[in-house]
Amino acid sequence: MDDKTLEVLAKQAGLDLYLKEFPEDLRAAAEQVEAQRKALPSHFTASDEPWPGMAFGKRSCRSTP
Amino acid sequence: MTELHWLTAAEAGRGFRDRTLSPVELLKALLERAEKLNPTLDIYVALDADRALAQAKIAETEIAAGKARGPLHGVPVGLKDIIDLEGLPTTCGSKILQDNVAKADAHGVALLREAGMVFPGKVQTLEFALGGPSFDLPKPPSRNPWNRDHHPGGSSSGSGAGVAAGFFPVALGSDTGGSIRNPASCCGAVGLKPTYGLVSRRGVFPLAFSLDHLGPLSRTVEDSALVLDALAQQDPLDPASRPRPDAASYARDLWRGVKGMKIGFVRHFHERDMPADPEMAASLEEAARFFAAEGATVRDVTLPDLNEFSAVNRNILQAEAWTIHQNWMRTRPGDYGQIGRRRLASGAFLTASDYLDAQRRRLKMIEANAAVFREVDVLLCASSMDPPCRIDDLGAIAKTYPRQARTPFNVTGEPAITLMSGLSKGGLPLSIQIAGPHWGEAKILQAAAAYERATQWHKMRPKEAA
Repeated sequence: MDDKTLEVLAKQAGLDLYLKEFPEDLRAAAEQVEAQRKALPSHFTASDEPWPGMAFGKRSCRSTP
Repeated sequence: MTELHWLTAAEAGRGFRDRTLSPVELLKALLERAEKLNPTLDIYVALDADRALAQAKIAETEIAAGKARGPLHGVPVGLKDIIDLEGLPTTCGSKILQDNVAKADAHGVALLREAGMVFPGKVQTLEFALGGPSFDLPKPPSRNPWNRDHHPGGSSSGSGAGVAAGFFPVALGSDTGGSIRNPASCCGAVGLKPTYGLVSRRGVFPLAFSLDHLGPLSRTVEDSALVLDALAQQDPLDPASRPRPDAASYARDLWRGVKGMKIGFVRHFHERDMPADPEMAASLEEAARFFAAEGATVRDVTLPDLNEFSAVNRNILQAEAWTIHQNWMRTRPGDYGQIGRRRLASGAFLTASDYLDAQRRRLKMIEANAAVFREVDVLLCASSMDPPCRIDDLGAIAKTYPRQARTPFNVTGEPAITLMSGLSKGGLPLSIQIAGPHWGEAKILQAAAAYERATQWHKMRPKEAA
């Protein structure tokens, strides 16, 4: 991934500080996703069910903090 | 006579009830052991000996008064440090939550407290149940009791290493992509991931909402069954929690054997999709022969490709984890360890369609597995493809960590148990995995118990904990 693309994506995600302090870690994270996308290309069409389940729970789950 | 630290939960509970052993005596022995071995194995991150001794004394008094609450009364349990224990920090192994003291027990902890269990403290986790093993965090990573230079697995690393080293007979861990079953596999223990929804996750710091499970680790199948019996209660405050469909006791029904059981052998996971280490593959073949000799019908079955399961698990996990960590990632990236920082940031680069595609594939995988479970009762397959590698070899960890067959059952939510199946030439544990259909815990526990009883691998003891 080129520097410009990484910068645009990082800023879009609000990761300006992360990019400034740990550019190589952010590059590794972005490249990991690129590799995953290649390994799992989208093969769905609009008519290719199933859609994800959209049931929702009654109450939220508490967790710390 | 068995040394106190090697007593199982079932044995200890029986000893308490017939007055040949006291909960205080056992706890003191385990605390002494922790004092001796924790400096080299780094299992406990927080000890609360005074409160635990008070709990053990109460248990002793209640049992002496004829008020035994059940088989786990007075038995110590280790808790992964992402699980809330009222009054102790839940740090998730991270600087981010270093001062986060739990105000209440997690639902699972409350249930074990009702069962009379004793809580000596919190044990190590990989950072936020994902990042590690890391040496740039507040506490060092746990070590493998079979060889402290080797990885104990994760993310429930302290739970797995702790039961294997005789720090406690049982522990709780969490499992989002295999994190109960990985340390169980690496440390020669038993690790059980229940059906999604059987055990509440309330009070357990989430990693990925739709993949997270809470469950037991132990040295025997019976002990995991006993803990699951206590944990399997619906919680209206966990939206995924469901009522247990039957009232049977997993522990009571444990010894029914496998005669007549239909077992599907998922050979393609470790032969085609991710070719396993030869010793691991041989132990799986041996297990298949064992089940057939015991009267089960064993036949090969085909599930979706293991690599696709792993990719789907990874996309969903990263996307959901990002929703939890995004604010800290933006404002406090330096407070994460490097491994956690990298893994958790991946979610920022996934798109909505990446996530939805993964969820759609997931539904197809659930359907595919359900079709196989219409033909067989349980599945036999690999857990890890390799014995645990060195803990300081980040290249080997990166290479071997994804080489596992645990993620399929996080993706589908089906129950799965791992247990020891031998020792490698290098003296490290080998393992197998048995999985079942949704709510099929009873059968997988029965199959695992039959294998354990016949092979006796669970009686092997790690050298670092001798």
